[in-house]
Amino acid sequence: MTNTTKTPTVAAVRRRLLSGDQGYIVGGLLLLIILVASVTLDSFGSTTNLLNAARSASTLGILAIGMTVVVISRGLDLSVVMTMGVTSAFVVQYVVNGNAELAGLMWAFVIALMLGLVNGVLVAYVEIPALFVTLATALLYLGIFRMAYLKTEIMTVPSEAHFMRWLGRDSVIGVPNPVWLFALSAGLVGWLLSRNLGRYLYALGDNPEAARLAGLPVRPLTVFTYLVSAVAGFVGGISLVSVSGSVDLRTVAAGTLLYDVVAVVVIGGVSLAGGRGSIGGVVCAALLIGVIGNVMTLLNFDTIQQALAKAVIVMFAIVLDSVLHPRDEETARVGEL
Amino acid sequence: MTRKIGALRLAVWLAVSVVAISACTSGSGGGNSSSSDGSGGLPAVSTPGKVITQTLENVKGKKVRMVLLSDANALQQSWIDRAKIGFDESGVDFEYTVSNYDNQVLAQQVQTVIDQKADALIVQNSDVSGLASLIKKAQDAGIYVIVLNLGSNAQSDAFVGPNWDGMSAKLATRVADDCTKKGNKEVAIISGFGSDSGSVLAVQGATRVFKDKGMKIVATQPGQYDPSKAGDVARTLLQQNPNLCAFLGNWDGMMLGVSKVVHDAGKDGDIGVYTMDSSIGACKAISEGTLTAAVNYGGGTAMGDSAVAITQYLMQGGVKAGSSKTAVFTATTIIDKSNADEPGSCYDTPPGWSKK
Repeated sequence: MTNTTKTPTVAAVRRRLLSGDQGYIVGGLLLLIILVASVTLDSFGSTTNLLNAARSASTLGILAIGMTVVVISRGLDLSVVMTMGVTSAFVVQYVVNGNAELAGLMWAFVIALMLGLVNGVLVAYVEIPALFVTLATALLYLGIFRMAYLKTEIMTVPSEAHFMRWLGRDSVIGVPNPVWLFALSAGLVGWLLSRNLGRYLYALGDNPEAARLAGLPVRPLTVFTYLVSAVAGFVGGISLVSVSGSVDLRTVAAGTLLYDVVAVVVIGGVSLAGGRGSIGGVVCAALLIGVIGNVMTLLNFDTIQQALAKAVIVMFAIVLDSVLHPRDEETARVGEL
Repeated sequence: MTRKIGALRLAVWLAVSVVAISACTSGSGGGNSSSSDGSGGLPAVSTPGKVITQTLENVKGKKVRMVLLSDANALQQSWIDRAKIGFDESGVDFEYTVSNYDNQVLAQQVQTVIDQKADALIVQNSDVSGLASLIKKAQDAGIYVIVLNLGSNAQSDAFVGPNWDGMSAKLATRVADDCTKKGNKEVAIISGFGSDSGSVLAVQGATRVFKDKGMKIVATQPGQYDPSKAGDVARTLLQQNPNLCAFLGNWDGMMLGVSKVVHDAGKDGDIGVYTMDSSIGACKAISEGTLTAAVNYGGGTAMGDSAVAITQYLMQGGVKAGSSKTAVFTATTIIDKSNADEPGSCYDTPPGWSKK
């Protein structure tokens, strides 16, 4: 029994290594950078610093995990960062207004599901391209919440928000809580993708028409992916707000987080044409961004140098993806981004 | 019939003469006037009562437009609030728009103000060069341009905001003094984006003082005006520099992310967190002991009033738009535990704030 479970896994790893799976390559690159930085930079290799880097990457990683599920199914969710912003801001405002934190978290979770449902229905049933739907809903969600509920763009997490204060401050077995949240999200979605449901999502992303002809419920599956992405937005938002101690919708609306999320998905080896990618690769890519950010801080890089370094890495990943997975007639036909 | 035409001609000439005399004595011309001695629009001798009447007449009905990045923060809300009150009391037609931090929208809104042929434009710049050509274009169209808070490469008729360099130097002096008392010389600077004028000047002022005072700057890092990113940077620097004495940054919204990291590390008081700007969150953090000091530069208190005053001055004086290049710096006060709870130390959303 042990042999029958181990052998295919080992074989799969070997096969993916030999075939140049991008997730493994990114993982290797991550280890290489950690190794080089540990040797050349004082205090980089300490456990505390590596956990700091992981903590920095946790929100980005959680958002990228949600986006991965959508992209594997040949979709795109440009509203994930806005979902993150409005749901986390909702919780903070709710508690600031004197309500219970737990109720706020539950309401925010329900709101996230509703936002994901709107995206999913518009893409799957109204058949509007995901790019346009999520671009529009991102602005719509922010506008609605700003008008209806959120009083200001910047709010501090109040002391009554005990769970969020604990989440952002404390550790379990020496590992910061946000890192646990990231690991749990990755484990859960990774497990999901390894089940039948996950195979359906890969099939949907690989060829929606074939998936439909094979009898898969492609529309509900599509809606499901946007629900997962919205929930990831909610979880990522709670993690971010807990760590920073404040919510800033200004940076959500005008920041570069969405760019970073897409970059992590691409670097992690998820094909924007759908049907290919793994959670492992995305986790490695998020950690890679976290470690690079950490190294750049230690090297005292300025904004332009940091942007340049990040751009070079994204370009490297795209070129690598192009080399490992050259465009063929099929991907060209479906309009790979 | 001839007598009637003659009377009509006389009436027209009289009316024209009255208007001409009135224009000469008041110097009114607003943004579109090009002939004035810049005297402020009032005669050399007059009674206080006449001054009021004439001043109000000079600005009544003038169009002033304010273009801001947002109206969702106490800072901008206070500017709008003070401008509404100030201009309404003077009979000025005042409206504002916001771009929601979208530079393209910001430029479009400025262009709209130019098309509307407003008399004055008060604008919040997002960076030093973004609106440079539009500021020049507005001035060429006879519109006075008043830039708020962050300066532009294109010289507006007036800049109203802090002397970022001087303010930063003042705060850095406080940091150096506090750290010297602790016998520790290591400091870190957290800037905004690093390339905006607020960041550039704040880093310049602080660096100069720190060097003069023999402090060791262990890092100058961008926090990108984001409490989360600034917090990540601070966490890494704390870990790498166990002897760090203080963080200095140029915006309180961002530095609250740094103070959270210092607080979570259990180093409140050991490692100081110093910031520019003083919203109500900063005063609260100072009272709680997580933030060491902040600089009140009048952002939420005096800046709106100063903008109204200088706009009225320009419109009354009638100097040609673009010919007056001036800067008005707001006064600065360091807020710490000794005065954080005093009224006026920090600003909040104005009472009864409403967008309308």
